[in-house]
Order: sequence, then C-alpha cells, then structure tokens
Amino acid sequence: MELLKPNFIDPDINFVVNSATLVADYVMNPDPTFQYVSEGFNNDLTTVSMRINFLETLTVSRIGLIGINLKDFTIFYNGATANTFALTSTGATMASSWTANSETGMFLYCTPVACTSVTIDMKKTITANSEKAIGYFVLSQERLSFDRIPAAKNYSPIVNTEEVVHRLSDGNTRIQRISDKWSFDIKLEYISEAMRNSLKTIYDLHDGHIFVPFGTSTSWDKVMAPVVWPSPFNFFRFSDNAVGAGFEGSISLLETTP
Amino acid sequence: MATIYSEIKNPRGRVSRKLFLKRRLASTGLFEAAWQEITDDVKSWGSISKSIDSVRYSRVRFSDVAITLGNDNGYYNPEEDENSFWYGYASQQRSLIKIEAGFIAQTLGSNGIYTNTTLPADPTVFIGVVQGDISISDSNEIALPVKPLLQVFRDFSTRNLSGLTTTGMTAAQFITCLRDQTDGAGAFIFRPFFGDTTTYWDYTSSSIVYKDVSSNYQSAQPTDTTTALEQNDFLEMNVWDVVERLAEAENQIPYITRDGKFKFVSRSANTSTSQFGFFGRG
Repeated sequence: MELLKPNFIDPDINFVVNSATLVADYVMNPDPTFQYVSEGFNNDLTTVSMRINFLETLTVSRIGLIGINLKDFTIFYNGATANTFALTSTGATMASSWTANSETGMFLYCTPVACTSVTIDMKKTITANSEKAIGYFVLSQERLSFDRIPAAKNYSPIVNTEEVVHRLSDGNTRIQRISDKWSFDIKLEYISEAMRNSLKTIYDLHDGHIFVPFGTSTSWDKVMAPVVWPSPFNFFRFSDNAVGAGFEGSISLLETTP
Repeated sequence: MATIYSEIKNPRGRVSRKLFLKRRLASTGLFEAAWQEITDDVKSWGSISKSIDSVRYSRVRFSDVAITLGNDNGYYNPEEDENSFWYGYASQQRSLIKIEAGFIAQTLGSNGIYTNTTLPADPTVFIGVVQGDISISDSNEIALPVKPLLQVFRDFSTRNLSGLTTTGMTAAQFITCLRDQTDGAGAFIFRPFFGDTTTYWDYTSSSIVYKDVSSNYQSAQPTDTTTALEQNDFLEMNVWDVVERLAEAENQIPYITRDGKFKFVSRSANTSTSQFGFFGRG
C-alpha cells in the first residue's frame, strides 16, 4: 500500500509518438476505457514508440500500466533501448522488457533511476496483429509505503459514479452515467511514531498523490488512482491508554484530476 | 452495433459533456483553426433553452448560457495576463464557445481495445459567443457569459450594411448580402461565426422583392403623395429583426442549428416515421 508522487506524465510534458499523436494524452486518463490506441500499426512486425520527455530530471521508481494489450514491449529511459529498468518486484522478468506478456495491467517496482525521458516500445500484441493500446500509464516515485496494511474492516475502496438518475413516475429508474471516480477510506491503528511522522510529512506536502493499494506485476487488481487527501490529519490520537501502544487515525482519499 | 436509438433506450447509458473554446487571432481577428477543450475547468454548466414564439411563429428564441469555470490556474484571466488562455490572442469577447453532449457507446474488443462511439456522431448542442462582463468571484470562479450566435446579427444595424440597393431585395438576396458582408479590410463580418464557409448558410426565398429592404430611407413610402413622408423603419432595425420579419413574410423560419449553421428554411412539417415503436395497454 503506497502513496506515490503525482504522475510524471502530465499535460505539460512532451509526447513523442510515431502513431496517433492526437490521442497520446489518453495515457494520462485514469479511466482505462479511454485508451491510447495506435493507428495503422496492427501488425506485430511494426513498433509503436512513445517517448515521454520530462521537463527536468526525475527519479522513476514505480511504473503502472492499466488497459494494455501488449505482448512484446520494452520500457527504457533516456532514449537508449539498453536502459531498461531493473525490477525489484517478483514478476515474469527482472528487466522492463517483455516478449510474451499476457497481463492487461501491471504495477512495477524498480530500482530508482534519475532520467529525463522514458520510452515504451510496443512491438507485439496479445491478440496478434492488433493496434497497440494503453489505458493508463503512470511513471512515479514512491513517497510512502505503509508499514502495514489496515484491517479489512478499516479499508474501504469505493467506485463513486457521477450520474444523473431519472426516477420515473411509475417507479422505474433510468440512469445516465458520466464517470467513475475512486475514493478510499483507510483507518490505521497501533501505528508507530515513525509511521505517524511519515504520514504527517506526506500530509504537510498538501499535494496530490497516486495511491496504489496492492501493486503487483501479475494478477493485479488494477486499482491505482490520482488522489488528494482532504480530511484533517488525526493521527496524533493514541490507540490505547498506554503511550507505547501507538497511534491511530484515518485517511480519506478522493480521486483528483490526473 | 450501437446507434443513437439504442443508446437512448439504454437504461444506464454513458454520457459525456464537453466544453470547447476558439480564440480570435490577434493579427486578423479571425478564429483559430482548432477547438480547445476546457471541460476540466467547468464547475457549472448553466442551462440552454430554445423556444418558438407562440404568436409570431417565425421567432425562434435562443437563451444565453452562463458557464462557471474554475480559474485557479488563471487560464481565464484577461488576455494581458500571461497565464491567460488568451495571452497573445485577441480579446476574450466574441470568442466562440461550443458545448457537446451525447452518449458514449463502449465495447471491449477481444483484442483488448475499447471502442468508444460518440453518438450522435456530431454531439454539438450549442455554439455561442462570449459577450458581456466576465467577472471573477472571490472563490476564483469565472462566470463566462455566452450568447447564442444570432447575437452577432443583433449587434449589427442594417444602416451599416454595404451592398443594399435603392430598389429593394428578395429575402435570399438580403441573406446573401449578410453572408458576403465584409469590413473595411475586406474580411468577412458574419461568416467566421458560421464555420467560415458558405456551406453553413442554408436559405431559399421567393422572388418577391421587398422594397423596404433598401438603403433608401424613403423606399417604403406609398405612391399616394398626399401622405406625409415617414422614414423607412428598415434602417432603424438590427439585422436579426429584419431576418425575422422577412421569414414571417416568406412563411419561412430563421434559426441557427445546434452545430452553428444558419438556416432560413421552409416550415414544412416533419413527416418522417418515428424510429421508436410505442406500445402499451393505453
């Protein structure tokens, strides 16, 4: 369970892609039903290369991909194909290069790399000879990894739907759905003073974050969202009468603009 | 395959609203080529309405719309602010605003790719011009006043038209005169608001020549010379009022379509068959 820096892929950065330039920014949209889809590259002998140029040198240690259909692809930095990321999580590979992927989403933990650009070369698709697609692409760096996950009853991830509900006079209901947004309620108990201080440091940033509850490179639940923490900070509360018991409090995270 | 009809009948359809902007170039005053999407900044969409006057059937009324935008990043500040969207462009006034609203039919293919079909294919519901005071609230919200496109006709007096004759015009000739109206620099006055193309002007008329539609301020005088002379009302009207009067005389209807096309067309009833079947116990 991690809080990351806001996505390094933001509207101000520069995409360089050799296909479907106009929809390249769809990779920033957390809704994976709106994907970047290449045009005219529905052939496994062709490669779509998307490079994301940062405005400054940034350290990348987390990579998230949702809504992909890629079988053979490579992620590398600073424009050199040999510069793959070294993955530190258990997965099908130890470098950010795949030849037979079957996952439609993956969250990668990698050795931090300070770089000025990241490129994804999309070569083959899971269903052969399809256009290459990416639903949501996150490049980021860890801010805080929770030292323990909350109890099940203290963790509530919810998809809130913005919709217009038309209640008809005969009792029927019709709905027009606009979008789905995540919210997360997390209650932590008996946390250490060090963890409390880390949370306070995060809170004091007054910045957006990427929240990833259970990132993994295989069989991922694909839960990852840009969030803000709007509620008061209440982790100075003791969990029990003994000071040594630790602290407790709650975090409310609401999805924000990517 | 999803169609607009299947989406209308869908009890839980996905819908979208989008807001776009076109600025005017500082050098020519013409609109930039591409629409700029500003949907993410919308806090309140306001409302739009259209209605037909129950007495004077040639009058189609279009409402204004007030859109509230978040201005935390200063995008909607006046054009001299370098954070402003309009920085380096002409004034905010008379910028074009487009609102799109429609269904999105989503299907996931076996190749892992979502197909998002926007229905109708052109979901434009309103095009208007920014006109009026743009206020910034203490919560840093902008109330963007948007008027319907016909406002550009309302703001133009007939006495300022060039190309009028002293002998009158047919309705079609008058609208052609509007369509081809240019300013002192030879730039079209009205056409840029309507796709900057003649194909967005759809009009026909009878061959009746309306002698009042004239640059002669006495053109409406009766031949009876004993009647006192009065000035021709035509030259006191704005262009849209004249269009409405002509439509009334021609049994036509003037309006601007949801996607910004000028229409001056017959009031013929729609006789096409409904796409839906109606059933029930009645």
